Amino acid sequence: MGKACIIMVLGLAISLSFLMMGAHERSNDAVSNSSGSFSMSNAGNLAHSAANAALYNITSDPSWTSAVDTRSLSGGTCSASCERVPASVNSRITATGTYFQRTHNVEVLVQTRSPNLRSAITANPPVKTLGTLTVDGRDYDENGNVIPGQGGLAIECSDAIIRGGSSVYGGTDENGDDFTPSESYDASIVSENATFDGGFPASPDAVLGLPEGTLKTYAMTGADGSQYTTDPTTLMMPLSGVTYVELPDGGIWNDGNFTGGSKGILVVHSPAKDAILKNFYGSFCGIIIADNVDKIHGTIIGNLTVIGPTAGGNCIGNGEGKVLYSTHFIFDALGDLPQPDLEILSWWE
Amino acid sequence: MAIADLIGTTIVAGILILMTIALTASVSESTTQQMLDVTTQQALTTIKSMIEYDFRKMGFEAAPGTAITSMGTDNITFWAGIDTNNDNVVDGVNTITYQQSDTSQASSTPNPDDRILYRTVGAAAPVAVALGVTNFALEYYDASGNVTASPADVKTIMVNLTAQSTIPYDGTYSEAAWEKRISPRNL
Repeated sequence: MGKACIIMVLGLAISLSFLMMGAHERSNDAVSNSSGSFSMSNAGNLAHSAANAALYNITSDPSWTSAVDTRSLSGGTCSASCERVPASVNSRITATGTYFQRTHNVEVLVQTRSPNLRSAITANPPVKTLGTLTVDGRDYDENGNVIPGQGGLAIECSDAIIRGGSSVYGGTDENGDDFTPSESYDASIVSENATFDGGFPASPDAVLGLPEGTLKTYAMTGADGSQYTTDPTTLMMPLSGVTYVELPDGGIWNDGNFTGGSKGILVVHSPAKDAILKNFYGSFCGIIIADNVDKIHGTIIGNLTVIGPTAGGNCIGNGEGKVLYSTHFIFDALGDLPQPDLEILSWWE
Repeated sequence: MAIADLIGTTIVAGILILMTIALTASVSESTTQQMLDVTTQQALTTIKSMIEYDFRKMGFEAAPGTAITSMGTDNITFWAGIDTNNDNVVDGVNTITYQQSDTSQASSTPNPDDRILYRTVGAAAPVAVALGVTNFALEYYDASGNVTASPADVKTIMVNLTAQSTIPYDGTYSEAAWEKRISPRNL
């Protein structure tokens, strides 16, 4: 009898142990669900924090393409990096948050400058190149070196692009592949008959997404060496800040020679949008916006935008000129101007 | 003396056995209840994760004001970026619809209040993502935090989700609830 009781009690105790173990496992599952969900939320919040830190950096400096170093925050870690998107005016932020083995990724696409500045030459009228003109959309740094994989197009034009003579085109396509300048250029580095949101910008201010009159007003202030003139022979070299040359309808600025490291933004414009910058010599780092350009013999590093409705000369260049794309000099030129708010194009997570 | 010992032993053993049986029954009941609770909670967290995952992608690469194509208190259709192969890279943009059925569609379960939550991607057939949902309620807010009925003005969506076990235990259904305001960054 005693033995039977002991066996029965032991049996019940063993079955109770199994039941307790099952209950413990259920309890663990419940906690695991809750903590997993909590960790996912926290990882998401951490990734958002890193992305927002990167966005803050870009807001302060649109040219920023560095990293938010991995940092510990609220028991987890987060980090972010930023890179330029090739053949565009956008930067891509990639942020990661990690909390207890749970990871959340965020990818933010930000437009950092006017969409009209994604190529070496942006033009409304047809672009014809002759001689040995070089048009290179690869991204050049301040020392003249190519930064691989983050450049732009050679030419973006709302009309035809006609390459002639020994002129060469280079650039970076949307995949980040760089192409050295060549007569047999890759079709992916030019955009012919391109369409522009809202139509091709109708004025120099519109090219940069600025309110009408901003460039002229800024030039008149003289800030950072800015100059405004109706007579280009009175300009003081080297150019800097915003140089606004307002010519009469049909006016031509001939044989301009840019010396001594001219830089900034140069506007050559007439009310009828038919002013011509002709026979350009020397070197200019930054953005040139002109109604028409005829025969570049010098070097432009940054961007050249031609806004006139029709081509104002025989060709944009027929000598040994160069138009090289440079985000460094574009951002440098835009530096002191009031910039439109950055636009977040997409947020992927 | 031996008889008295035997009687005493039998009584003590009986008490021990009864206590053990009662405890076993209690633990068994608790374990079953817990299992239903955990199952319900797991169902809820699965749906929650899916809703958060999709809603965060709402409006990806859509023109401003066009992300939500239709909305109601228990349904919504919106454009979103789709990652079809789980490589965390968007593979395209498509519409996603969340729609709660009425209770008749879940009549095969003992729970009279549960419904089916359907998720539809593009033109594909609706997929039942959860059985046991008893409440899927949506409320929409504009940029100022006011309730709005205009899809173009929506900036924040309040999601209320309640799930119950499809079978009862001892006459009651396990229940878990989740509530969150989601502000998709692309809206």
